[in-house]
Amino acid sequence: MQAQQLSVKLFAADPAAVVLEAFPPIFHRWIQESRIPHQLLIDVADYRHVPDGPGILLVGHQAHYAIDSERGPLGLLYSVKRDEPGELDGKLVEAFGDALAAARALEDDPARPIRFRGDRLRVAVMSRRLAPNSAETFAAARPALEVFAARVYPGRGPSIEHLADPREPFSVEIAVDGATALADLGQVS
Amino acid sequence: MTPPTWRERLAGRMPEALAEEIDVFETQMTLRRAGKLEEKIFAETRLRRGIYGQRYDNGQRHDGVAQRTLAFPCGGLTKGPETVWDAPGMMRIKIPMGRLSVLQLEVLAELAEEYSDSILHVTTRQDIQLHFVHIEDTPDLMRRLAAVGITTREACGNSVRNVTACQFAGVCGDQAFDVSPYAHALAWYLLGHRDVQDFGRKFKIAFSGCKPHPCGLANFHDIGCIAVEKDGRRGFEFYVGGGLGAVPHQAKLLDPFVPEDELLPLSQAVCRVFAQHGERKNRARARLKFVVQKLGIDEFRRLVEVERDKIPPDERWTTYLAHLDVTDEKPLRPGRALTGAGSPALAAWRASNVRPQPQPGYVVATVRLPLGDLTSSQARRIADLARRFTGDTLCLTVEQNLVLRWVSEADLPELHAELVALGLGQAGASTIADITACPGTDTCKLGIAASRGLAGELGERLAARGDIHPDLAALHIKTSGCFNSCGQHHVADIGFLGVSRNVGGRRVPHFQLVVGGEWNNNGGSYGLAIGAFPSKRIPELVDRLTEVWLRERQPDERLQAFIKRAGRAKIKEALDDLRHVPTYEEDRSFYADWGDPRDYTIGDMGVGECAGEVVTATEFGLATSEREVFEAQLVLDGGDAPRAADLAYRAMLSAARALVTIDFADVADDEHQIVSEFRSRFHDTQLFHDRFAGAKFAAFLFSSHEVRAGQPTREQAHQKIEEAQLFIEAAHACYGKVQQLKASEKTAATQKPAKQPSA
Repeated sequence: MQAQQLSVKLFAADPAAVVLEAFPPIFHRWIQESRIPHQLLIDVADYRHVPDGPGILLVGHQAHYAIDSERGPLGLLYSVKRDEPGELDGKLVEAFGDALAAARALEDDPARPIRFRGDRLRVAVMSRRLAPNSAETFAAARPALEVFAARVYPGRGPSIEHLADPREPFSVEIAVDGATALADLGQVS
Repeated sequence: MTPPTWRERLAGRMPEALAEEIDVFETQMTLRRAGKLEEKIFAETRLRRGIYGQRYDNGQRHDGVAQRTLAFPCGGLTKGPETVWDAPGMMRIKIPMGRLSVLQLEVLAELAEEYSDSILHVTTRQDIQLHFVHIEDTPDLMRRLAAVGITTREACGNSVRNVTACQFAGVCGDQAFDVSPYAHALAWYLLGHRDVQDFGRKFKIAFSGCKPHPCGLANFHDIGCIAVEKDGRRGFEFYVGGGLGAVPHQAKLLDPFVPEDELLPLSQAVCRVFAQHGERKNRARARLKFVVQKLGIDEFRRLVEVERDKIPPDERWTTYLAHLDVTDEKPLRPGRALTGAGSPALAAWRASNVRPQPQPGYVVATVRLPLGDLTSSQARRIADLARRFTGDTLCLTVEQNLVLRWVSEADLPELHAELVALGLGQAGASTIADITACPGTDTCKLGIAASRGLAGELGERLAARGDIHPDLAALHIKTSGCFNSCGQHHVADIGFLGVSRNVGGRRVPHFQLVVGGEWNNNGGSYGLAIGAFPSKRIPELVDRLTEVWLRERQPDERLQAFIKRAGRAKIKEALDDLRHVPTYEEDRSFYADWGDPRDYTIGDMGVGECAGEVVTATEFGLATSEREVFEAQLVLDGGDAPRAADLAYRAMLSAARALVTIDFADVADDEHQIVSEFRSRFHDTQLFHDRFAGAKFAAFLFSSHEVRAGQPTREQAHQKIEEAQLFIEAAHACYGKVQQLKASEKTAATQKPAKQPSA
């Protein structure tokens, strides 16, 4: 299945403990230090005033990073903005790798602004042209998603749930039972 | 199999003309990429399709440490002068009269998710803006809009912008009649019309159903139409030449009664006169307001009448009158009264956000959008609420909110509960906490200070105060990031416009406080700035100002009247200590703007050699000019317009002299010498030029020096004061620039390698 503009969301372990105000200085520092070498980071947008919105957004050319609570609990939402269409399996590996690296960097930040739970993650394809949110898309995506989920959660029998609202972008949630830290997640790349 | 492109998928679903236009634009993009279309031409081409630049699109950004080049992958490819192809941009989407169908809202939500940052931003012109959009995505974005009847054509550029109208039109008890079908007809008549393709500047039109209320804001538009009935006939009080911008102008009455069948041709005639007589070279004086000012309303009227007689008849002038129901809405549910007050939260929301319609049992409910923003998910849920409670349509407002019309009053508890669940059930619509803000430094290239950051901070603090005096709650606060007034600060009770100041060799974000404006009466009068205050002290300033007013006012005296009675000098005195800026070492927070932890910078000002406590003669001179322009306001308040205008001119002279003294301390106190020295040292060298406004501010001094009006009117004196304030702000910016240049020269000199002794 062809896909592009994937997003991956990793959820906060304790959303109520996250203070959004902590993130602008961190993201500005990431820009100053070119913290993500293969991406151009541009600016930081502050959407704290928007209820259940993108929170603090690190705007990039290739991708955005947001401490987001738009759909479901607060977490790090990594959204690829500029890529060519390609096979879903490769896109999953790439997007997840970037999202995980950013999440780890946030956990390791001296300000300790957030901890993540690793037992659940959401993947979406933000292109309705390539991936309308339908049962057919889910069926076409399922093989790649199963391979991907097995690599992220080796030996844990992950579930894959299709979030089937047809107006929303095509999205699935992948989850396992039991507490899981980021460090427990499998290497996919 | 490759999925079809949007072009293929939407073929036959877009109006043919729009589909063709978008194809043409895509071809122009191809030509530009190939270097076969001049960047200047391409820039105006994309602007006329609503594709606008954003901050840092020149590929340069100060990251708080140093100025950096943003290494976009496109290399040297540009989409306009100094505008990098790959840089994120803004897409402005015209929504005539702010009226949206639920389907349109859902498509906008999709586009925000896929091409932007999942935020739909409502503007003060009832548009929707999407930010961080890549130009390569715009053709498909436009196609998807076209398929639901939305065009971005002429949303930006030198063209007729979105036609705005009162959000209560058709459901208002005060209206003479429903202006919606007239606004709709004029918007579509002028869209792409050949007579509006050759303007030197943008052109804005607004409709209002009544005179006293501000919803239509007819007083500050190029054309402002207020509905009136005369002898049983419908028509419009027809105003021209209003505008905010750097120097605001009140619109002039062109005709007290334009019959409905003359609305389109007369508007067309005004457009033709603007195209013929509007300034082309000097962009800063190219709006219609300057044509009206220059010609006088009587001569302008004569020219319009001459032009009107020349226009070949067009059947569209009147055919729409047979279809005035085109904008009518049908309620979904029967109108039923609500019995009982409900919860305190519901009661508070009803008090501020709900307004009865003249149609029994129905109300209009305002959904407060913080800073005009809503997410894609919220937009979809609001579309669901409209489908469930009201029908097919919603309306965006010039106060950056959204209204649901035709709500059965009995449904309010349920609707409110749903909005609360969405995070959008906040009370306080159109109150002091519901602050209007332009994008400012968040995304605008012209922004000087963080108008949204300030508005967010003020809104949060005011909301947290809970029990606010009703008269205080009724005030309006509006913030603009610069002098261009997109946040409409001139017509607020308390307005702010972003400026900067040099303190100890560092730039400090400030806001000019503007008081005396009037939101009612269609934006009936404009305020004046009374001084610049550090950005971080503005919340305290708002508290102080409103406390003084509530404590010392006469019974029921409104803020505007209080300021007039008490005098600006008293207000200024009460606030004067708030102008103090601690040193960088004492409190670094003053040197950063709201919501942005970077050290604040404009033009990447670094630490100059004069850092410390030394106050230069130039700084003293600039302070003098600020005092003089304030005195000009006091004199104007006292009714002496000629003296006020003269003082405003003197203030400009003081600021110019202050700059001249940087390198010519002995300049005489002679106005001719000051102007001459200023011209050669700062104007001719372009040191005084604003990056975007060019020589505009210097021209204010020159024109005042060259043409001294004998008996200026109050309005002319008011404008002169506005000009003086802008000139002084430009002088501050210029002083910062000069300091930076001197610091760079000194650094370069010290880094010059020492001459090696010859072997």
